Amino acid sequence: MVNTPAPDLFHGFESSGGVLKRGLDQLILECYSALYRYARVLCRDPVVAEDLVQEALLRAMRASRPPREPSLVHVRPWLFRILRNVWLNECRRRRRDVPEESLAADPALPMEPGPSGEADRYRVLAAIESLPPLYREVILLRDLEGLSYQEIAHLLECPLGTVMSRLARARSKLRRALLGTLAPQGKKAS
Amino acid sequence: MRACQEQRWRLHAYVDRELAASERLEFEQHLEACPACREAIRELTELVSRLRAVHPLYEVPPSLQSWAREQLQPFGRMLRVRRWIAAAVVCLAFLVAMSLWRSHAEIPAEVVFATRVHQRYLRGELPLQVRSDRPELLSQWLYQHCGLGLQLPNYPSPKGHTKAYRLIGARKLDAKGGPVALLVYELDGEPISLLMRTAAQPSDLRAQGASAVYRLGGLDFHLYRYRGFQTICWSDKGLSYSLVTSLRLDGSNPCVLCHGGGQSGQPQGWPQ
Repeated sequence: MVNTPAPDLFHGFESSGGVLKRGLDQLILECYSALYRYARVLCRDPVVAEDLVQEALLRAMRASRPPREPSLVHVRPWLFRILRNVWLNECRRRRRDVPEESLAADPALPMEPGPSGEADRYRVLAAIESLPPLYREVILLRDLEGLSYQEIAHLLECPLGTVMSRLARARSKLRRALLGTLAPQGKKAS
Repeated sequence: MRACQEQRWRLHAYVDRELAASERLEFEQHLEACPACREAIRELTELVSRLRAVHPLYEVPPSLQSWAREQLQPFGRMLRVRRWIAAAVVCLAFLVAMSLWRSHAEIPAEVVFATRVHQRYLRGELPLQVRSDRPELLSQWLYQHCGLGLQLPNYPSPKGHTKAYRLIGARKLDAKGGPVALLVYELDGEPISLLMRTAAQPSDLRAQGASAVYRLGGLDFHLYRYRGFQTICWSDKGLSYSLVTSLRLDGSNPCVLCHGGGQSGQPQGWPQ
């Protein structure tokens, strides 16, 4: 009999369960990097991403009803939601639709390969960027930023099941994209 | 190797630690018997670890870093000022509430009763049962209806002046401790209620809660301020008295106005 323990993939994430007694300004300061990464995943343009984050932060600072609980677990999803709304407004303004359930691959922007030691990292980045927007989004929120399924569902305003199926499909696509290119754990890709 | 179709959705939730305890246990039992799912878990774990290894996905541009810090510093200061103001308001409200509670808690019940009676009289809810400005007539009425044996005094007015106060009438009130007599005077058109009752129950008058205590003719007069009115309470010869008015009863309008002066023209011990 083989007992497979659940892998511990969470030790590196910021604590999202503990109540951290910090001011809203400090919490926002801790979150704006994550906001920028989310913005990059949404729009894939560094300049637009910067604008989106600035607009989102200004809205957050002007918000009349910020989260009551001054903790990262409440502030971060709140900021993500603001950013997403800013992005959706921007899309509407540009009369550009975000494909809701499109599975068609969105061609990735050309990326600068890093040093030779980062070749594997470059391949993973390229694979993530090649995903359709909705899949990129869910991969970033779950696997990179560590949001729970419930938080993602709340943020994307969709059922929990949709989050799970979207995540499963995104991971499946990533696995196929990286098949044969990923070095086994603990080894460097050549 | 393909994982079992019916367990497929659980693979991700298991790796992401999103399964409930019972579901987790059930799935682990399944894993023990299913090499395909174990292999799928291994592959998925490897993929997620590989994804996490590229975190952070993008570096924040220095321009955005400096912009965010510049914006958040004054925002933080404003938040701290707001917190201080909110805390100060809460403290102030608490102190005011405590002060009101303490001042009301210390007001004797007979002062509260007398003030309410006076307010009801002012609203016309307690019409007088007898109207007269003759003290001897009202004394007789009080004896017959309230059982109070006393002679209402008829204080003289200072020479060359008309009498400052005027007797209006009386009414009997039924209270818990027995009948209470309400006598109404007027001074400069302002009603003054004087409640009288037999002092069968020990009085709860006390110096604490009173604005002032004056000693005059061997009697203690307790002055209270309650609900915008001033009440003087005292006991004498088996009767307790409560006098309620909105007139100022200290300093400028001493009792000499009604009672007349002694040789010095001023009751002894009364504030000037």
